[in-house]
Amino acid sequence: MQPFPCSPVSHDRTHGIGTGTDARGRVDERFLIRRILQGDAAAEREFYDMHVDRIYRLSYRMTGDDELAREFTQETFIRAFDRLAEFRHEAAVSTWLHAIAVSVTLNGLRRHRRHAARETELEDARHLGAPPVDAIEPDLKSRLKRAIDALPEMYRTVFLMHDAEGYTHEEIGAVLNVPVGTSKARLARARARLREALSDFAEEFA
Amino acid sequence: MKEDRFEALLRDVASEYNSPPATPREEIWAGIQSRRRRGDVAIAGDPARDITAGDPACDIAAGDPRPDASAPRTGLGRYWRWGVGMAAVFALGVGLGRLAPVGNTTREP
Repeated sequence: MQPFPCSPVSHDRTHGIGTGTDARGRVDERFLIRRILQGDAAAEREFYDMHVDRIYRLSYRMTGDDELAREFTQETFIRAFDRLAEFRHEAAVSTWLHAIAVSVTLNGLRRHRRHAARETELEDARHLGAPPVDAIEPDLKSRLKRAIDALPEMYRTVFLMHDAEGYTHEEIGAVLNVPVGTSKARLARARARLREALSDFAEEFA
Repeated sequence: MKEDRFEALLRDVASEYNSPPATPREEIWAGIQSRRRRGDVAIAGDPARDITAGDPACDIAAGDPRPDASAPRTGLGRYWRWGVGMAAVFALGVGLGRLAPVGNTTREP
């Protein structure tokens, strides 16, 4: 698995994600952060209200589970408030926050899947001989959804951010700390894999 | 045509995939407040809490998109660990030396 990137990025990160942050916005952002660091509880809530929708939505898209999405959103903001003093304004704060959210969600999902896999092994032992899922779900959309589930993490993340949540490649690149071209390439590979997954429907799509 | 149909299907499925409900803002906020009151905060270096654990190559500079990296290690900690390691090896050598049979161990020609 490819590690989450961590070196400084070189591409443009002057615009925030989803908050319409421009130069004026960056000034307001600095002011808001300063108030939070001075212990202003109302400023914390303001910061939270500005960003929580996109963070929760992204986490939910990636987990498909309300409880996990809530937990990871909480974790994201707890970490952000805890380390806001270290934020140096080299990126928009929304980009910084999204990077935390993606990292928290991916790591949380890995832990959750490891735990779930152990339970599934026990469950499978009781259901030997059950028909394969393909036989139960011949529907095209169901097949495609399962193919999205099965995408490698780095392709799935980019696919969901771009195609499901509407992030631009610039935004994805800034959050994942990869060049824009890499984000585009990962999306193309994700789509290619999804097309492969529909090989049974070759007449229509292949 | 096939390409168009596939793209349309993909957009359709992507929008439906794990479609999020309305954000439970107040519940999440209450959870954050509760966990922070309990002191349940990210602990750098704790594998259970630190999302950068196992990723030693991470840049620790604040303001990076990886703001959650742990604090920089001082050189002192590294020297301390080396010192303890060497002392342990030395103690082990002395111990083995004392346990070894005493006397002339050279063989007769």
